[in-house]
Amino acid sequence: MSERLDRDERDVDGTSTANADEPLVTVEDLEKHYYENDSLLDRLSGRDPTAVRAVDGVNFTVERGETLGLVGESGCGKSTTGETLLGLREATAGTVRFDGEPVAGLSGDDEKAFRRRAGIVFQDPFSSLDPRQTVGEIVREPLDVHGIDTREEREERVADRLERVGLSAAQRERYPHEFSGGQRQRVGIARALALDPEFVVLDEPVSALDVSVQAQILNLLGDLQDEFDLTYLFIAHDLSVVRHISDRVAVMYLGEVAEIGPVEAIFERPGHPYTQALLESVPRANTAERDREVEALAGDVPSPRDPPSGCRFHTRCPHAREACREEDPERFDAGSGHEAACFRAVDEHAYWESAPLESPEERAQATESDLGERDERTADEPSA
Amino acid sequence: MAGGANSEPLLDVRDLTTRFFTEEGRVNAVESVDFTVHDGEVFGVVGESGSGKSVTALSVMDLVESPGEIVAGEVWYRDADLAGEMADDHPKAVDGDAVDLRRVPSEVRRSLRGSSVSMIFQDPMSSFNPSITVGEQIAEAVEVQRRASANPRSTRSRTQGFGLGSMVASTMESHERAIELLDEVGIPDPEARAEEYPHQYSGGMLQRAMVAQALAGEPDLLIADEPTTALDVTIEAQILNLLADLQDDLGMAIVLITHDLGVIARTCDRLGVMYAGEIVEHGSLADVFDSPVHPYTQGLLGSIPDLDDPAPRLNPIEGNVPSLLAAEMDDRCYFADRCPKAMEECLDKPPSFAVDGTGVAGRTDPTGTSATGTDGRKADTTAHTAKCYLADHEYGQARALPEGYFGGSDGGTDT
Ligand code: SF4
Ligand code: SF4
Repeated sequence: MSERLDRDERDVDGTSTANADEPLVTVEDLEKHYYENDSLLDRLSGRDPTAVRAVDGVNFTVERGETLGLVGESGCGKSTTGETLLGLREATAGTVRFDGEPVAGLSGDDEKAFRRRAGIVFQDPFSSLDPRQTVGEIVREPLDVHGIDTREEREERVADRLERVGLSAAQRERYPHEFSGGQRQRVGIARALALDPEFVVLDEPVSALDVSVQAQILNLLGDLQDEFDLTYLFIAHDLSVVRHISDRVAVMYLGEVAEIGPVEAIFERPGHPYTQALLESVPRANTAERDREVEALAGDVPSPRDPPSGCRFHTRCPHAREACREEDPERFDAGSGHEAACFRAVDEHAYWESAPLESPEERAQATESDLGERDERTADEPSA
Repeated sequence: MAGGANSEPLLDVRDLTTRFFTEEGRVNAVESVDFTVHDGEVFGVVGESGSGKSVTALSVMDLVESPGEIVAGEVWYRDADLAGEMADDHPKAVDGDAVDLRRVPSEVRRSLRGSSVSMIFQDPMSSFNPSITVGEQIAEAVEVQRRASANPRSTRSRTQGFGLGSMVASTMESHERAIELLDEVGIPDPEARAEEYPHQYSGGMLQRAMVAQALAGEPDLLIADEPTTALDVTIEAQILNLLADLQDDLGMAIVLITHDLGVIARTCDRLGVMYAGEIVEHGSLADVFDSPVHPYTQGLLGSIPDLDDPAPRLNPIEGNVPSLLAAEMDDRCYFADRCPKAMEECLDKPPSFAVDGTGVAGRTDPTGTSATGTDGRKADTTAHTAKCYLADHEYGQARALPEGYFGGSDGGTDT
């Protein structure tokens, strides 16, 4: 089909340098810190800016054709990670490579080429679509910006994308407010696919939707991945959704990846106590749920303004020992492609000799916890 | 707390109907809803957005605001003292120990809020005044309850139980009780936290504080509207455990409103599934989850990805939630345009059928004024029922509505 041409062209003009076995996306030591109390007034009054360590040293790869799920609670930095790796926010430190090429510092044609190959779908289909544009204009805009083909061909592609996401080409003259939430999300997806990308960051794409509509969109995303040969980074807080759609999963806690591995391993044999607690917490929609004793995690998520020393999870971890307070665990191998940032993954670690901390209930500090993803955003200039 | 289990329901809601009179026209938000809640029971109301579940809660609490209006229905609440007080002036509103809250003056209804029936919300900020310390606000709620119970015969002396701007000064005693309550809901260092303002609390902590405030009046019934929806999953687990513990300790009944079938499965004894303003299926947790009859219930259950046993593909319900504008609602099964089993008879509105095959589910009105039962028997209001012809007879291919009968849909669209 004609869309494939773009990709061929790309190979021809030599922007594609890496070999097909390399990951499509490589993220190394990525950091994104925000500064609060950093206004002129704050500086005048001599207040020190506070660093919010939203993303604090994150490493992972996204392999070609797979879906990597990035899961965690609010404030863990998952959305900031997605936006930073696309270069929508400037990284504080670290590198992101796309198809072998560093993303940071791209400009001109290189940046344009990258934007064509990597797209994003946002959570809130309403606020991410311009209400004054028709649906056709919304989907066509990236094509206009990138000067793709003739006007006629662009219109054709718009019609094609609308139909591929389950809308009709006849709906192109309508405005976003005339659509339901699920349909608006379809429009957002059509727009992301307009440039025929290889990689799409899906940032909580179904969490604003009702469950019956959510299921439609999840099925659609699966179909489109096959049709368009897409690689997904799927960011979500809903573990059931993440299990459903992902091939591999990275679990984030307070700006770090706590555990990463194949979806089966993460859900069937979670190695990190935080992953275990997350899975324990999810209410299951079946009749056995009523009698399940749920061990809830104590305490709140600590603030990324002042993350705990050592293992970031030690203030809530039911298995925490002295060693966890002193040393930050690296990611240890927990079997085929499965890694957990917890000393318990290592048989001979000094952790096992050190004294257990008192129970988290006693340690639980009612700390400022609810630094949501929203907070992270407002601490910085808006990305749009 | 009304000690001991009573076979009569604590809350018996009948034919409750609430409409919104908007510029676009009349919106039928809640349509003839019936349910009962017994002592110490958790009754769940589950539905998607626009199903009417939250308006149902607000209607029971008489908190519907303009342009909304409760246009019909009865809300029988069992309270022997209140029944005694009301018997002379409002005999029609009293039946045995039960009082129809729709037929008593609004100040009586208001007087019950916070003391007999409390409500908690998705957003705890909505029930706290940001400029008063949390401890002071809970102490006020305690004080209101103290005064009310010191003077039980006069409902008029009870002021509004919770909410902003209650003008009751708290005493030393009620302040101590507030700290106790904060402790009971698991707030660490409650004495210090009582002195803090709402914005100094995390979301989970404020949710706990709201529960403490709701418990200040020692209610028999707690209405919880999406109490964990805004919370992260580990905090949600804490709050659900807290509600379960409190319910065990205090024996109160809970009406839990949520969109999350997992939360329902975790907490509820019985539930009603709402769609387009109606309870379309009702029964015990096992009835509804293990033997759902209504295609909407089946569709909802098929739409959730299973955490423990993922299926390669989900079975979503096609289409979208319908408009509730009266002008656009035909007098048919409201689900028919999305239902894979829609038949000719579905163009007539289905009554509520008993799933056990005994026909139209009926009930006898104890006042005898509006008996809706078909045979005058005292119906079991806890039975498994569904507003769907499939509860009455089998699907018949011959009577199936042709594809595209409802104007078709261009791929997952609504109108
Ligand atoms: S390193 Fe220690 S505190 Fe961290 S998750 Fe492992 S056991 Fe818990
Ligand atoms: S009454 Fe008919 S249309 Fe409605 S849910 Fe039942 S089978 Fe479907």
